[in-house]
Amino acid sequence: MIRTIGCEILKLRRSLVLLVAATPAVMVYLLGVLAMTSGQGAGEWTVLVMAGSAIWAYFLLPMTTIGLAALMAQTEHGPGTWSWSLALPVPRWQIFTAKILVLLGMMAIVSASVALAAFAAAWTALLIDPELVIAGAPDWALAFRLHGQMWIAGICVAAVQWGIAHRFRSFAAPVAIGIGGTFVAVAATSSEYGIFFPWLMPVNMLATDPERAQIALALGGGGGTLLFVLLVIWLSRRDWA
Amino acid sequence: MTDLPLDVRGLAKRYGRVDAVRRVDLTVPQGAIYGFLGPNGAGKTTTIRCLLGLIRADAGTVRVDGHDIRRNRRAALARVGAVVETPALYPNLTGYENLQLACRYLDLPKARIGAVLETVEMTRDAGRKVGQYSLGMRQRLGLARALIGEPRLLILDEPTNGLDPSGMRDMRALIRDLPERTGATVFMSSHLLSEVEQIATHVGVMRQGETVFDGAIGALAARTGQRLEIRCDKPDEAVALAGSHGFTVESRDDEAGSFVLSGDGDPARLNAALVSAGIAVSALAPLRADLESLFLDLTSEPLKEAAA
Repeated sequence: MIRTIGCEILKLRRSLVLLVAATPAVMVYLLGVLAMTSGQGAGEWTVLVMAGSAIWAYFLLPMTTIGLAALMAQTEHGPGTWSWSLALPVPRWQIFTAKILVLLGMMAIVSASVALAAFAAAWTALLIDPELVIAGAPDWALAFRLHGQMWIAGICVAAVQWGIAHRFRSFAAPVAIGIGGTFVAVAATSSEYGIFFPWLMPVNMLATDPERAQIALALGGGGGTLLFVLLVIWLSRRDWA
Repeated sequence: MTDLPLDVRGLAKRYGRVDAVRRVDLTVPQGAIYGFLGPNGAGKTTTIRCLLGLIRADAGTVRVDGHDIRRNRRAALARVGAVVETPALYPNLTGYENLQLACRYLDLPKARIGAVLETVEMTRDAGRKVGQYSLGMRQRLGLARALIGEPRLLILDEPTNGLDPSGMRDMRALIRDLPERTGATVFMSSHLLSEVEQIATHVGVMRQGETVFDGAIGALAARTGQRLEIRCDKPDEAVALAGSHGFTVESRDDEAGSFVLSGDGDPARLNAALVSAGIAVSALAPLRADLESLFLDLTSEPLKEAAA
């Protein structure tokens, strides 16, 4: 399995996937620096963490998932590529599982980099404007706990995006569904049933109601894992004509 | 007894109401270059996908190196190299990295990379990104990747497709030498009859989802029986004489004074009879049927009669 994961990682060398993975942290960093040095003041460290997490959960996390899942699938959708990899004497489930683990691993790295980017933005703003005051102390635990929970809750949307990206050769299909889902999520944030919408599950980690956050965590993590397992079984058994 | 590199019996695959493959029987002996022929839509690609376990057959068996592809897919594919459709390479990786990928999947030492690059004469370009390769270079690299696991059976789907004439010639030469250089048996589909004729030792011909011929290329030629071309000064008399010696006239060119005979008669006796009858024979030559005419015969005659 480790060998197969190594193959999946090697396939990403010099690909756009790495650019997409680096983008969210850069965006959070730039947005943070601009916001804090624009004369509005910096506020508190806790607020900074929450603001960075909100941008990530609402917008950047689903968009990054779309980009990574679609681009990773596209590396295999070229003419004859599936025929080559699935005709290898390697169990099919192992190939698909390795792809999933690489996607989730990349999402974890991007999540961590976004958390760090929020702090980096604050320190950069302090360097640019020494008179800037940020109340409290940097709350690393809060930042990494929130991003960790969002990562778990985001497994469901990752499974949906990954499944669509691998089922359809078209790049447009997963991108259209992903963008649609992200915008519906913004509109449905306050909806009672929004908690069941995969694109909103990471956002619910910011909910003031702890029960809502727990449900989103369980549905996103558990449901997403179950969906991944079903997708691996289905993709391993289907004909690749 | 050594297992055949590839043995297919009664293979069938249906998509909805359409029989993509109805009955395919293939026997590919060790060391052969097996040309897999058939008109478009005959079921060649479906058959190749079944051979590689990419699609499940509805009926029949595929045994690769003695292993049933359905029951023991991994063992069956362990000594198979394949290039299906176009060579599926990762354009963002270099040639070397593409081969490195195959090595990792198959748990092979990196030393194999140098060996296969040399076989396909790509050592010099291995450090370049595949996205910058010409189609011919991609075909060569695809072949190198298929060879990396030292396969007993090499499955090539239209290996010269899209190549320019010199690329086709080079690829043919490469394939022709493979059994001797690597010990691999080659199974290649092609729609270029001249190509198969030049390099294949065995052929399989498909038509409407069925195999209409499977065997040595010589046996295919023998199916048409003996044909002779004769040129002489008295064609009318010669034709009459040929009829009494077990030959029938297939075609005639009165202007050139020549005609083509087919039949089971003895050419030497006919020649002697013609000379005895005072007919001046300027040419008497056996005609070798080319693969194209044999192929057209096989793929146009009714299925029941054509079945080998």
